[in-house]
Amino acid sequence: MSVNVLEKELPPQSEAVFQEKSTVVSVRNLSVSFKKQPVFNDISFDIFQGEVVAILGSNGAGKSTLLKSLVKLVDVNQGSIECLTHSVTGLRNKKLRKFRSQIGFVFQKHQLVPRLTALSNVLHGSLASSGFKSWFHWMAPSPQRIKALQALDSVGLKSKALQSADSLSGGQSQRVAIARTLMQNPSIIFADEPAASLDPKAGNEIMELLTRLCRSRQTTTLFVTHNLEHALQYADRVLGIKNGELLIDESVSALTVDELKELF
Amino acid sequence: MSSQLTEINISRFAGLKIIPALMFCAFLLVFLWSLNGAGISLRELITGIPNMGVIASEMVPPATDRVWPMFKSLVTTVQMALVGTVIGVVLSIPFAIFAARNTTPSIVVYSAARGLISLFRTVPDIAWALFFVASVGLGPFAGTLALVVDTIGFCGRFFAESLEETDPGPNQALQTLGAKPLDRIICCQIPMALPGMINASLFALEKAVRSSVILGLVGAGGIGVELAVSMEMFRYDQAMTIILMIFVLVVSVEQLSAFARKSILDSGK
Repeated sequence: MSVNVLEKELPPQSEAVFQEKSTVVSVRNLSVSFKKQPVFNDISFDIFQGEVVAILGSNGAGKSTLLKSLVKLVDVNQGSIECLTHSVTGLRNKKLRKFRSQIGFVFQKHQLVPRLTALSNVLHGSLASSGFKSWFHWMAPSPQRIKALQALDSVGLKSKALQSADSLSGGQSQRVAIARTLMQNPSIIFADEPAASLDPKAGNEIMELLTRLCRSRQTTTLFVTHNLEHALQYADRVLGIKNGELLIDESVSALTVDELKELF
Repeated sequence: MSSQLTEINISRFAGLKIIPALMFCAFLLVFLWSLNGAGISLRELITGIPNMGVIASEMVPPATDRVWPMFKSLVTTVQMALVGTVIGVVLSIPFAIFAARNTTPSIVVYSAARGLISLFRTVPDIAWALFFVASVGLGPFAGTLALVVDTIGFCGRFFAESLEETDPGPNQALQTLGAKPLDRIICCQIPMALPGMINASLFALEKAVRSSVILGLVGAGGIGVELAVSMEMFRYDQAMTIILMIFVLVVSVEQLSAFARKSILDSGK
């Protein structure tokens, strides 16, 4: 299986598609280690505008660390990350916050603020741009509240707007987290195993919702999963990681289930 | 047979750990030394029993001649406790933000805030009352200031601990979407720490009610002044009335506090 997207011959159809689109994420020779133990080593790939890409691998393969390193939640040891014209590894303080405000991040365990309403949690999506006006729903100006309600409506939870986040089910909480991300109007969405903590039915619904919303808004999306079906069903391209190395970088149409099973 | 027994036998001191044993011996020595310093005397206790009986008999029936001025002092005590606690709780919030590892802006600010909170907490409230009586004069204002400082010492520590115990996940989520540290503290970390903070605040109110009685003994206003005067004048019947009033007040505040705690914390679920 090919390793580096730069050295790899892309299928004719994908090449045509990618040539038209600009690169929004460019990772070169990226290495991360914790306590001198390498998590992944010398990884390079590009993500193009409007793509939905899956990072696939087994538990502990380094998928989530890779995703977190793209928004500088994890420090990298070596290599470069260019994302939306920012050199991510060199960003600090205000510039880092500005960069992050353009990135939507959906976590495995939704990470909503308990005790606050779903609506307040969605409004937090605009904290970077609105500051204190987005602290709590009762402080937000009407246009912003309407936008947050529209985001909740788009994930089918408008009726739960004033319900406390800790009273929602796992699936509902993840929907609210997606609505919070939509509130940001992000240029890219990163999702770290968004369906992993949910039952299969709720997981499929979340993946369906996330990719449908991203495609309708033409938002570039990179999601981490260890679910082969999710990767094949919802992504355009798969980045396969095993033991900290990028083993697969291929469009979904060119991949077989057996090839993906080699990652596990 | 004898040699076999020796082989399987285990010394009775085999599991004994030296350091805990030495610490226990040291504690026993310090306790015996303290018994001497505490002036414990069975003879004095026995000779004092008749005096206790006399005082107790003079306390009954409780006097009713000064009930109205006593009640006004009791109201002042409640006012002191309420105002001292509320101002103390409000001031504790910035102290706690600076004194919690996950919200402080720097290690220098953290150390300074922790140091001040420790100072406020370790110096007894009665010492603060004496300091403020000397500074601003006799009366409830000195007592209220002492309660403010004491509440900051109590709530500052518990608020900081509540903030430190919050789940880091939601905070990281808001950090990832570009929220500033102050925004994250106010709309994420404080709401998550709120149950612990409400709990500490209500305990601080109960503590302030009990403290405000004692503070009166050094002239810092409230019902304590009445109690000190009654005891000095050997009016044990009046003292009994005051003690009963204090008992009813403290029990009422504890009950109200427990009710408020349950209502507030349950309403957030």
